[in-house]
Amino acid sequence: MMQAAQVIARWELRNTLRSRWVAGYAGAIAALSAGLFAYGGGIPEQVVVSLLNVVLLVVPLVSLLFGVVSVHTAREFLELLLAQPLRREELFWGFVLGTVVPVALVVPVGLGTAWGVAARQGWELYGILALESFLLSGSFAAFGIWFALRWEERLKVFGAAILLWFALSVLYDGVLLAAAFLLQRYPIERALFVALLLNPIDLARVAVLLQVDAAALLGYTGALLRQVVGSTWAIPLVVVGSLCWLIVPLWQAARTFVRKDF
Amino acid sequence: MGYMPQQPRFPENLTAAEIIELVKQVRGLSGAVEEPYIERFSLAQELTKPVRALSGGTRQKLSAVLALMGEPEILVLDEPTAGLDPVTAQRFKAELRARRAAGTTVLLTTHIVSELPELVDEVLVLLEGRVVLHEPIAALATDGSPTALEEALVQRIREG
Repeated sequence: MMQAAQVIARWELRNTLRSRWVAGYAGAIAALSAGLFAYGGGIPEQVVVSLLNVVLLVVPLVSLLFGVVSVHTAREFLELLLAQPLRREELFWGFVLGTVVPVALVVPVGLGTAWGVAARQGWELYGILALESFLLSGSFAAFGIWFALRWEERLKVFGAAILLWFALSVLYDGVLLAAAFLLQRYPIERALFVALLLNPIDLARVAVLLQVDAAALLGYTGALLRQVVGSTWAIPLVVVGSLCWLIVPLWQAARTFVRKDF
Repeated sequence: MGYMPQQPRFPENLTAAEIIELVKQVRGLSGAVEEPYIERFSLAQELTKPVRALSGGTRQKLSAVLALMGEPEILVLDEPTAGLDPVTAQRFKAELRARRAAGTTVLLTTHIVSELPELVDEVLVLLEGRVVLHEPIAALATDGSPTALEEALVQRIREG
């Protein structure tokens, strides 16, 4: 059964890799990483912390828009393929593999290249940033695909995408900080901790900063995380959280695709 | 089943030849099944260009090749001649007549009533999702001329 999915994935991958969008994005990430290594003192920890802020802001937004646009441009061709002898699940997973994986790999590959040339050590640190940005990118691309399948009106799709990005990357932390400040006389640590696990961008930030051993930079949330789960389990727990953030929108998108009346 | 959508849009960064290969793989076709149609619609020059560099008419030709190759038993065509140049449209219609004679089921939508007598046996008119007419074409225009058919259709639709 998966043979058709492989065929679709292979061609879709080729289409994505030739896209100027993806090439520009990958070039920008590689140039940024290289620049940080060259002029940022070349210390991996510094590079990672600088890059982290960019990754947490830009990667979700680019991935979201990429997910939306890839469905919109493939719409008619997906319809044509639906008239061919293959199952909807095969078509969906082939399409997703061919579009989401290359985009999610842009940061791991771009940063990895710069890292291999300039740092050649501290690969655990690279690994956690690469893994988290892969999961984050995949998660937001999946949200983009889901939204684009869910609603017919393009304005609504883009609106929902921008709203999701803004809510998770800007509003969320603001609300958490306000809550922590206003309710500081109450024992809300555990509630805040749970709230943290509910935001994929915070998860990625926490995972990387824990690995850098700069949990102090995280202030409240970092100290809290260590306190609640201890050092050994903190990172694995966060990675599992990020993984959930990838699986849920993917599963929703798959369900929508299989039931959609095109 | 061969299907021609109304809008011929394909992955922008693949070439026409790659899209033909993709659809062949999905449909499990092997051999040079596309060759006769590439020749008939003079598409050979365009095969190595990426889709984003192809004109609307060329994309429509590619769409026709995708639907016809491998001689599927059923053809579903959504305004197939829209966007085709007159020469290609003629060749395409000749191909459809040949297919019909060979027993292929052809389901097509069109706004061009004059095309109908040469292409179809039965006419079905939908108005706001409701079937307002479904008859053999011979019953509508006894002399088989496009103008007679057009007048008959308009009259029947008015009568409701």
